[in-house]
Amino acid sequence: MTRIAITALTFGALAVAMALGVTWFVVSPPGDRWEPAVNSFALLAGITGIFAERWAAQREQRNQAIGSIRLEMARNRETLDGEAFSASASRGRRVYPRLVQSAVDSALSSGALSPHRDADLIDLLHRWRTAVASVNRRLELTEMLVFTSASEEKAEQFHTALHRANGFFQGVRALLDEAQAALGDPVRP
Amino acid sequence: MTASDGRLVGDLARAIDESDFAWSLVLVGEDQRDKLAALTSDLLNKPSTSGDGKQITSGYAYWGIGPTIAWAHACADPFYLVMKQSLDSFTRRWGRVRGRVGEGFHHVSFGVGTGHKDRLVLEHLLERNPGLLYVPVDMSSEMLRLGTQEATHRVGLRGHRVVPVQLDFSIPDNLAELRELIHRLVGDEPVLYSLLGNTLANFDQDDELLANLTALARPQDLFLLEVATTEAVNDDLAQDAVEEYARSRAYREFVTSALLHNTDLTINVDAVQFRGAVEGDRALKVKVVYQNQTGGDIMMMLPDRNRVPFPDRDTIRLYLTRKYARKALDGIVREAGMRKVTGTHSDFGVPRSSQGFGMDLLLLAPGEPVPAPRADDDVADVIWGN
Repeated sequence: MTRIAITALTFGALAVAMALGVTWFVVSPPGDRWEPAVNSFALLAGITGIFAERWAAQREQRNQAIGSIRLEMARNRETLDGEAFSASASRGRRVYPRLVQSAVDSALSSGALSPHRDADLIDLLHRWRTAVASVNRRLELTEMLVFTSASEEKAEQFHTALHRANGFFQGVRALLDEAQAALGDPVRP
Repeated sequence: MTASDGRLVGDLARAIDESDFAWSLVLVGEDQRDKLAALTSDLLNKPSTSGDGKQITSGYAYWGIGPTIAWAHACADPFYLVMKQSLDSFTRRWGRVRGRVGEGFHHVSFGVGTGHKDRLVLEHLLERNPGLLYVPVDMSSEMLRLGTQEATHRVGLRGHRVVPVQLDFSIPDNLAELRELIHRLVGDEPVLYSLLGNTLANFDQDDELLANLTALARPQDLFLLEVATTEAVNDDLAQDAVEEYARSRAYREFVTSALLHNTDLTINVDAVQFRGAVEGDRALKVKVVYQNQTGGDIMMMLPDRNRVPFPDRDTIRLYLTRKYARKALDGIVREAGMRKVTGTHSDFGVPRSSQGFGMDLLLLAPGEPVPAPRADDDVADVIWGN
């Protein structure tokens, strides 16, 4: 409420000052019009400057958010293409690296992305965030079950399930491809 | 047996062991004339365009020196992916399961193949049982000779401890006789039976064959089973399985070699067709057929000199193979009255193969059938399935 009142007061004062400045320019004798003209242009620059600065700040914030998400996606790509998640990797017990999502969380919570202009990207990032949380939770379950089982076969079963065609993990890779493509990053061949 | 008979056996064993000549002592279990009559009879079946009429059943595909040599060539072909991967990965897979095989085992191998795998098994068993008896069993004496030579090459097994048996092991009566023979030879000592190289998949009644073979095993025995597997079963993968076999010309020459040597057909390897299908939820099935594509009827001479028609579009089924669904393996083992001691899987890690194709090696023991899988046995699939 206070913010609205201050905004109304500020822009009201500027509007009145602008109107008075224009009136002063009209009623002034021709030889005395320099001062009201300078006054009116100064007020106009002040009003437009506020909006220009806001637009530039928003744009900078969005670019920073997109840049951070790109770096995070590239890091996740390295993780997924790494030895731990390779189909030819060792089938024994292991602790898997996790996917990260802090940049996506930050971008979504800070409002750096425009709900109108970035609607599709926001939807994609929400899906990616859900997928990452799900992967990490499933990895925890996998590690718990493999490490608490006496049978080495269990680790092999999980390895096979993890790399199954059309399985959950393949879906996550496809979603990462889609996200990187939406961000304009090169997607793996 | 008299003392002189015993001396004769001893002299024979010494003659084999001490000679530089590659003697092999083969027990022939069947009248080969009956086998020829059976092959002829199979080629007299009614016309069929789907490969369900005339056929060369498993065993006959390797019968005779021509098919044996063609088989050896196919095994050396890098485009025959199943065999190449099977041979390449066997050392690793056998290394994972052999620790569960105890001491004092003899080895009975059904379908000796190229002998490479049997050699690895023998090396391991010999370290724990210098008095090991090796009994390879095959319908083809030529395959026995080829495979046994490779299997025993430089493993330190004395010649008279190798007893190849020429026998069609798909016939239950033959197995009953073989059981008697084996038990007489080894007494109560344990035996490792093996059926390697996806041989099981070549038989029409594969479940029945496995049950008959595993019935040979006593409580102290073990059974080593190797099969080609697939993670999923659908029409697309059946087509992928077809392409896997179809790309090898040496394999086409092998499957047609039985026809070449038992009929007077002029063989055109381009007339070999591979037809894939889904066999319920248990396997992908590939039928290899030879089709008359000449546009006219042909007269074909059979081994008994009879000339029979081979009509246009008619087929002769040359070979049958499968890739078993990995999920179905436990059920197959259970139905054979066995329990899995341990098992290992190897993927075909090459771009030419479909994802999910591979080989499984299972070490089985007789006993109470394995109970049906509990819900949590599939926990890996539940977590990573979708």
